[in-house]
Order: sequence, then structure tokens, then C-alpha cells
Amino acid sequence: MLKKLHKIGIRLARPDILFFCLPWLMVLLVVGTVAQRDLGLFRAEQLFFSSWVFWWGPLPLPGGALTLTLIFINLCAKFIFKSTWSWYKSGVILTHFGILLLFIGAIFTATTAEEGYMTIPEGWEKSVIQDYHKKGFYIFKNEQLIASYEISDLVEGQHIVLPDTPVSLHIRNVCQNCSFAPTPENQKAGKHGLAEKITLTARPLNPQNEANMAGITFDVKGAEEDENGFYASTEAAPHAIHISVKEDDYRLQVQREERPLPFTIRLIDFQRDFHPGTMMAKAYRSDIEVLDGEAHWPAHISMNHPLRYKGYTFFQSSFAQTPAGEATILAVVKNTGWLFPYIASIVIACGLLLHLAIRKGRSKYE
Amino acid sequence: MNKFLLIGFFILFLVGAGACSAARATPLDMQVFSMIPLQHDGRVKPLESFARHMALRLTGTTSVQGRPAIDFLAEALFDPTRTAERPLFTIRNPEIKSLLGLPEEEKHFSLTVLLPGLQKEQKTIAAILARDDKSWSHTERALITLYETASDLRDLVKSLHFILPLRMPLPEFVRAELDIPASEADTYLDLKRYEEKISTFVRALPEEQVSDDLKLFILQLSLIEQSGDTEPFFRIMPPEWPLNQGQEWLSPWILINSGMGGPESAAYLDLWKDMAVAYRAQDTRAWQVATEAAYQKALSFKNSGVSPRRLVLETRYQQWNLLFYSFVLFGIATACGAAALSFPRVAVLRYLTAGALIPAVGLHATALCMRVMILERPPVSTLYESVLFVSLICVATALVFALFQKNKSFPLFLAAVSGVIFSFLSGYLAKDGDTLQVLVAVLNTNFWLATHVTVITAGYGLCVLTAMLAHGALLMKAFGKDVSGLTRKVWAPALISLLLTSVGTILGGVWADQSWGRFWGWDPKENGALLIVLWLVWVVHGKISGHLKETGFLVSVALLNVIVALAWFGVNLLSVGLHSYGFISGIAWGLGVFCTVEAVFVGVCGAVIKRKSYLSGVATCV
Repeated sequence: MLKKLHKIGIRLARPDILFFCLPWLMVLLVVGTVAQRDLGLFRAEQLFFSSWVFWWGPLPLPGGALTLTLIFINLCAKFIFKSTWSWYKSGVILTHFGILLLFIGAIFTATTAEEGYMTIPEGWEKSVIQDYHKKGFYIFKNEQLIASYEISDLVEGQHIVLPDTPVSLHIRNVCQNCSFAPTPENQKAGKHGLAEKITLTARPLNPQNEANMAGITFDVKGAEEDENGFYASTEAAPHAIHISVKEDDYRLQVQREERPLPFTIRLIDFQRDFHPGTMMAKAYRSDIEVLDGEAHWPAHISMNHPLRYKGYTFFQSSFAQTPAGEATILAVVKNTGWLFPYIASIVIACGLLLHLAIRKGRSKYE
Repeated sequence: MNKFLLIGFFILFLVGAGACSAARATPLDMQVFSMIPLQHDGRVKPLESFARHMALRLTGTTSVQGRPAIDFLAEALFDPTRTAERPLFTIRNPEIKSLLGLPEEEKHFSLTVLLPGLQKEQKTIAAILARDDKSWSHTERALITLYETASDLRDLVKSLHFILPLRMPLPEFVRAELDIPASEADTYLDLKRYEEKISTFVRALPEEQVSDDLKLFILQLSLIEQSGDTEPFFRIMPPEWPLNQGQEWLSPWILINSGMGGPESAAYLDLWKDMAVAYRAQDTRAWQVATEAAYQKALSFKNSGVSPRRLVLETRYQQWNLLFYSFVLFGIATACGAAALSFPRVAVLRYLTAGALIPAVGLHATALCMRVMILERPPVSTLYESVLFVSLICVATALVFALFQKNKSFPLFLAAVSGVIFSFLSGYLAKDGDTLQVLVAVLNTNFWLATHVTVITAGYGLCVLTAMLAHGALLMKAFGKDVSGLTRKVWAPALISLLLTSVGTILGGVWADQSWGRFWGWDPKENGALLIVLWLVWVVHGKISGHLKETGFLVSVALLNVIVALAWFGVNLLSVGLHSYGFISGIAWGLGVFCTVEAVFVGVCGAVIKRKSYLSGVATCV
């Protein structure tokens, strides 16, 4: 059994795997990079780098995830079954170990990391983070989430029934990226809320995924007479749709996925410094307060100086002008594998330096 | 024939080196004037830098009509009419000439000739500016460039109108009537304090007593006043009051119109007036006194934040033009190096090559050190600086390499060629204007600039040098020489390149983790750096595993140049991703030519080597 395992290991450690996988990875890298111009980073990443297989016309081709997995297996097998454990090869072994660490860190990050952002106007506090990409249609009953649908799963003509009620929603239109136009006067009859003011129509996706504004339109049937009709909801406008059934309030809303934070962040002040006489930003800085239970303390977040607390890291990402005033936009990341690249980079550097030093010493000796 | 070509090449460079001084057109000493500070593009700099920036925008060089930029600036400020009438704008595009109503047969035009046409076409220009610049045609782009340059020059020539003598003086009867001293009726600024008095007097005059001279005088004052109501362009007034927390300097016009001046500003403006008087009279002595006094006064402002040491250093940096002289020396070294390769027995050629290279590196390194001291940040922060740094790394490493080689001609030649190529490239990038720029917020961190950026650009330098060594080895092998020794010498720099680029890339990831919250985001710039690392890993492992034989290894290493060029410049052309501060345009054609030439060179060498090896195999069989 061990012999068989060893044999498989030796085969998996063959240098041919690396020799043919690396050029393919480079091709993916070039194609995926150039494609970002038209597809945007998010879609190009999904298509070329995060995919196991992607289709080029009728031809299935290995994606970045599959290629990297093959390289990882090849490196593992090489490390375990084919490493020459000698002083002369110690630099190489250390370098390979560092790369393995980097891979392990990447796997950790890919499987466990959570990314999102918070937009907090000055003086406000928030304890939820919003996802950059996941968008959904959410149904709350008395402010308790009872159902959610990813926008990409909704289709025209779909029926959604509000649980335990005679009320049903008939999806009329779904757009991943909506354009907004005023609703003509002669078309306002039977429309409610946002739909009375604006009409949503689909437009081509923006390469920058964050710029796409999803929305849906639907008919409500089976509710009170004055609440039946045509509705619209979009993530671009914070207008929730409220439908009353008996004593219960149902809130319907298209929004980005929200995740709760185990503490609260309050923005005290946001500052932008410009290089004098220009509109070029010199520094961004958010003076915040962290509120965790009874405890609260001030903290500062600025470019290159994030705040780390309870496994979450808050980065100064951007800013916005909101109806509530100037707001900071903080990128929020929860990544248990964040230390791996730091350790891996030190190990790789040491390994390469050691290898060069040993080679130099040996060539001198020879 | 080749020898004559080489000698001709050499002479050309010597002639080029000698022809780089420009005669001065004014007897006035501009040294102190060139050090007077102003705030421009977000930082305080000497007038010398500003003058060169303006000259670059106008003419594409650091001189204007053969005169030093600082002379041009002084004339534009103190004798604006003359500058406005100089044919400084070259227009060849017939469509633009026709649009602006300019004569077809001429190609050089002055500001006074251009402005009416540009004003007439304001709507057309506004419509173009409202569109995305990617949709502009070639003519539209040229029109907008012309408009912006002309606007800058217009703003410059009128920036000190108010301290220059009025063309139409205050009529004598008015001056006498209002009891205004003759010495206080010379400029707009002088008369500003009598504005109310003059206005009341003129309004009270009967219609028949308002002479044409008086009408023209009033019209002139009104025109000067209107011309001052623009964006602050020439910010020479340091902040006088502590309330100005942004440390924003003001243009004289804004100072006057906003009432933010004070006794210090008034005294400083008087010194500018003295300079104007001295310049117009071409009075050497008065000019010297006025410029010295103005310089000292500018330094004395409490809130100016001016460092005299940096001002002097930057002025010297601009005037000494060390990078140009190092380019010339690299050129001479290239010619000598080529000759030394052609005549290996003539030792003097090798000494000449080294003799030109060492001062060239010295000048180059001095220029980089001066930049570090002026900007108070690590040597590499912008694309331009990365080219300078890579150049230094390439040349210095090749020189060190030469020290340990028996045959020194080849590494010396490599050092010289890389110096010439990168100096040329940096010269091209410097055409955009001031290269001593301030940085966007995310780059404002000396720690990461000193670590990630320095390491990765050093990696680029080593990669380029390694690839050039491989070029040499391929060429020699194509000529049938044994290059096994040289191939071994490519190995060590390839490994060091791998070390620097991989550590640099990972450090970049760590920086991205600190700034943007993720170690890796598949951003084009990150992918470019990874591409170099992957290529080197592939080459190194291919050589170790035996997949790449000698020729294959050399071809792959030689192509590293293409990979580096794509990663360094190519990804910036995509204009996508978070590294927006590095976006460039206009080099796609050059990059395409470079990659094609490289591919053809490597392909031809590879094919010749293959053919030779096939023929020698056949001969052995026979």
C-alpha cells in the first residue's frame, strides 16, 4: 500500500506537470487580465481565475482554480516524495515550503474570508456590513427576515407567495443593471411607491460589478385592495415596500446582502486632505468609535492603517456624499488566513537567499 | 565598413554632447529669480521648475525659441505683450487652422492670433470636453491640447498685469484734479486705492468732458479687472494668515480680489513690482537687488513651509540636467563598447567605455539622490522614477558583473546599452511635464515605497540585464560560438531576478492587504508582477528538469524582456483596476514595436541555431 502510494506520489511529483501547467496559467493570466477591460475585474476573475473549467466555444478548458490545484498537488508530491533532504537543497526545500504556505493561505482565504463594506455618514453608527456582489430580494415579516432570493435566480413570470398569506408576487421584470426613467403620467395608474415615480429597464452590465444597480418590478395580488398593484424595488433607492396582512407588516426590498457585525462602529469625523491647491487627495482619515457592549473607545482608520478587531479588519476604502452628509466607506474583511502570506513571504525570501548563498559557497569551493 | 560606421556613431555622440548649451538672450542674471518659490501642482517649487513645465507644455522641450525657460517666464510675466506676440504655437493640422480661421500657409502662431479663434469656438471645445476623451478624434485631441496650452499661457501672461505700467496712462487732468501723485498712478495696483475717487469723479463729469483718452483708460482698467477674475494659476503668494489651514498659496489676483492680503503680502507684491520695473528697463543691478529681496521675503513668510535647502537643490537639479549628460555619456560608452567588441585587442576602447560609463553612473545616481532629497521619499514612486531606478540597477549590476569577468567588453557594452535605452525612455516619459510630482493618498507611505516598490523595480532591472545577457549569448551562438560558459553566467542573475521579483510581488500583496483589505485581487498590475515570477519559475524549473536545453533556456530568458515590458508598461494601458495612479496612454505603439522586434530577434537567432545544429548533425552522420 505504502509502495503504491509512493509510486503515485512520485508520478504526481513529475516536473512535466509544472512545466505544462505554468504556461497555461500564464495564458489564463494574460487573457484574464486583458478581458478585464471589457468584462470588468469581477466577471473576468469568475470566468478565468476562480473557475474549474470554462468554455471556449464548444471546447472546455481548465480554469485557474483547476490549474492552481494541479500545481499545488504537484508541489505537495514533490515536497513529500522527491525532496532531497540535504543541506545543499535546504534553500530549495524552504522556498517550496513557503510556496506551499502561500497556497494554504490562499485556500483558507478562498473558503473562509468574508468581504464587504460599510457606508457610514458622520454621526451615524452601523453594525452590519454589505456584500460587494451578492444582491437579493428580501422579505421581512415584522422586521424578521423570512425569505430571500438572489437576484440572479429570479426570472420573469415567477410567482412568490408570502408565507401563510394569500398574497402573491408576480415578477414582471428583473434587471441586473437597471436604468431609471420617470414614469409617464398616463402610465401611473395602478402603480405604487417607487414604481409611480420611476420606470426600471434593463441595460447592459457595467464592467465594474459594484456599479451595477439591480432591481425588479412585480405585481402584488391578494392583498388589501389599495395595496394590490404594480411595484418596483431597486438597490439604488432605499425605499422599502410595505404590505400589511392582518396585523403583520411585510417589508420587501432589493438590496445587497447584509451580514451583522458583533459590535458597532460610529463615525465621528471623516477628513479628506488634498495636496494644496489641487483636487488630488493626500490622505483620507476616519475618526471612529467602536462600541462593543458597555465598552467603547475611539480609533482611527486611514489609508495603509487599518483597524483590526475581533477577526475583522476595517480599511479606509472610499467616501461618499450622502443625503445624511459626508460618509466614509470602509472595506471590511474577515480573513482567518491573513497571516499566511506574511509568514510565507519571509520563508520564501529566506529560502531563495539560502539557496543562492549555498550555491555561491559551493561554486567557490569547487 | 562596420568599423567606419562605429567611428561615425562615436563622432555623432561627441557632436551631440557639445551642442547642448543654449545662449542667453537677456543680460539679467536669472539665478536668484529662478529660485523664488511658488506653489504649483500641489507642492512648493522654484520658478525654474515651473518655467520648465510651461516650456514643456508649449514646445515639448525645456527651452522656448532657443532661450532658457526661465528667461521666457520672466518675459511672459514682465513683458507679456512681447510673449503674446511671439509665434510659440506650431499648428500643422489643416482642419484646426480652418476651424480657428488661421492662414493655411503658416504653421507658427502667436497667442494674440490664436485667442480670437479659440474664443469663437468655445462651444465646439466645450462640446468635445463634455464627451469621454476616449471618443475624441486625433484632430479633437490636438484642438483640446492647443486650447489648454493657450489658456495656460494666457493665464500666465496676465498674472502680473496689475503691477505692470498701464498702456493708457491716467489722463493728466484727472490725476491733477484728484491730487494723485505721479508715482502712484503707474499701475493698476497703484490706482486700485483711488478706484472709488476716480469712479465718483468720472461719473460727475459732464458727457462732453469725457475724452476718448479717459474712456480708453477706464476700459483698460475694466479689462484688467475682468482678466483677473480667473482660476488661481500663478500661486506666488505664501499664506499670510494661520487661518489658511490647507497651506494653500494664492495667486496675486485672488489675493487682491479676496482681500486675504496683509502688510507682508503688500511688501512682497511691491518687490515683484520692483522686479518688473528692473526687467523692463533691463537694469542688471536693480534686477539683482529686487530678485534677492523678493527671494528673501518669500522665505520669511511664517506659514509658507518653504525649505530653502530643497528650493536650491531643485533649482540645481533642473539647471544641471545631470540625466541629460549621463545619457550623452551612456551614448559615448555604447559607441566605445561596440568598438571594443569589434576590436577586442584594442584595450583602450575598453578603458574608454569604462571611462564614460563610470561618470555616467555617477551623474545618474547623483540625480536620483537629489530627487530623493527634494521629494523626501524613496527613489521610486512613479513610472518615470521606476525607469530611472531600473536604469541605475541595470548599469550598476552590469559594471559589477564586468569586474568579475575576464572578458569585460560584453558586460560593459550591456551596461552602456541599457543606460542609453532607459535614458531615452525616461526622456520620453519626462515630456509630460514636471517629473517631481506629489503622490496620491495610497502611495503616501514611505515604508512600502522603500520596500515593495524598490524591491520589485530592482527585480525588473535584474530581469532586463539577465535577458540582455541571454540576447548576447543567443547572438554568439547563432554565429557558431561556444556559449556554455555564458549560459552558466545567465543562471545566477536569473535566480536573483526570481528572488527580487517574487519577494517584491509578495510584499506588494502585503501592502494591498494593508491598504485594500486583500492580499491578492487579480488586478492587472498584480497579474503583471505575477507573470514575471511565473515565467522565471518556469524557466528555472524547465532548465533543472531538462525540458529546456541550452537554446531553449536562452530563448526563454531573452523573452523575459517582453514579459517585463508587458508587466511594467502594458498593464497600465488597460486603464482598469485599483492601480489607477499608474495608468498611461500613448505608448501602445512603441510597446508593440518593441515586443515584435524582440520576438523576431529571438526567433531568428533560435532558427539559425537550430539550422546549424541540424546541419552539424547531418555532417556528423555523413
